[in-house]
Amino acid sequence: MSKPLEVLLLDDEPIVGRRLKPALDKIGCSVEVFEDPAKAVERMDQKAFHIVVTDIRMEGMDGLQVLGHVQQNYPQTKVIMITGYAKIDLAREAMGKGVFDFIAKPFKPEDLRQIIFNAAEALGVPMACPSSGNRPVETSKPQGSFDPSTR
Amino acid sequence: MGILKTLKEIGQKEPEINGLYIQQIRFHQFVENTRKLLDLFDDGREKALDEYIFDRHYVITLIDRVVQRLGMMVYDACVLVPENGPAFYRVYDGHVLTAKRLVGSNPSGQATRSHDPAPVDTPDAAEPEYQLLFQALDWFNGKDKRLDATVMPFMEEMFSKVTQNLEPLGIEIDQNLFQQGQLASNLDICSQTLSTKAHGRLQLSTFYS
Repeated sequence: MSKPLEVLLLDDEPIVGRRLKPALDKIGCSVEVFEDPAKAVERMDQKAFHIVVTDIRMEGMDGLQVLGHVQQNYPQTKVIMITGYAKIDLAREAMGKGVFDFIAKPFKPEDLRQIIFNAAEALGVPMACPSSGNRPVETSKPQGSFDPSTR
Repeated sequence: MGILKTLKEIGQKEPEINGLYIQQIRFHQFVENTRKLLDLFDDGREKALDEYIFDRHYVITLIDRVVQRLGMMVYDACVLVPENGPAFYRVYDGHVLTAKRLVGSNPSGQATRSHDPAPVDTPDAAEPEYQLLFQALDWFNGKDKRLDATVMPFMEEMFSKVTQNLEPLGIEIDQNLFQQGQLASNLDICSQTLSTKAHGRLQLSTFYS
């Protein structure tokens, strides 16, 4: 049986974690939710994640700094940015810095599930198809597919 | 003869045509702003009823945009029906205050306005962001039909006054157009009617000059 996709979800708006966690659990992701960027980074240094989903604008440490930390220390981890309303300029900056994808609020959980699915595919990790329940989908496994437990 | 000179001459001969054209342009803006407001209401409703992920910032931005667009609609209405200007602005100021109270409500979603709606019976109503959105939607178009309580009756009132003011110009617009569901498409008809009338008058004037 395949291991779940490890996802760290970071957003300082509690509603995002509350509503997204069950939506991602449903497709077989193992999700840890954080509202404090410092605590999220601390957790990243303890445990490996396939995917980090982070808000772009937060107090203390913003999403671009989180992206920098991940890229410097865990280059195989895919980072997905959640941008606030009309923050396309910041999103563009993030894309230039190598973020896997971004999604603008407001959005539907289904939209993020699709991006997560694409990221899993890029990592070569099989997971449930976002629109077809929990049936695992075999993705084409690229060379050197990423298993965080081997980090 | 240059077009500007021609227009100037026409303007001197037929000042009321200039006035009609100014009214036509302003009415077009008025209709456009009405439509944009209805789009904002629809956007909020869609986010509330579908399972969207949004934050408080979205709701606050939505409220701000409604206030801004309503202000533009009031300005247009005041140009078209100047005698109603002070009354329109009085009601508008009340709505600005309501919006400020909504935006300033605490994170648990408890608004401070005196005529708060009853809690909405939906599974998401427990989320403060959803509560705020439902309160905003109630302010847009809730059950309370007082002009100073919800935005829609105020828009309807302005629409009514503006269209009544067009009747002396021979332009009759059905007052019942301002009914939900029919309004968006019919706003086009209103704008086109006035445009055609104004254009027709200019053509006649040019013909006889």
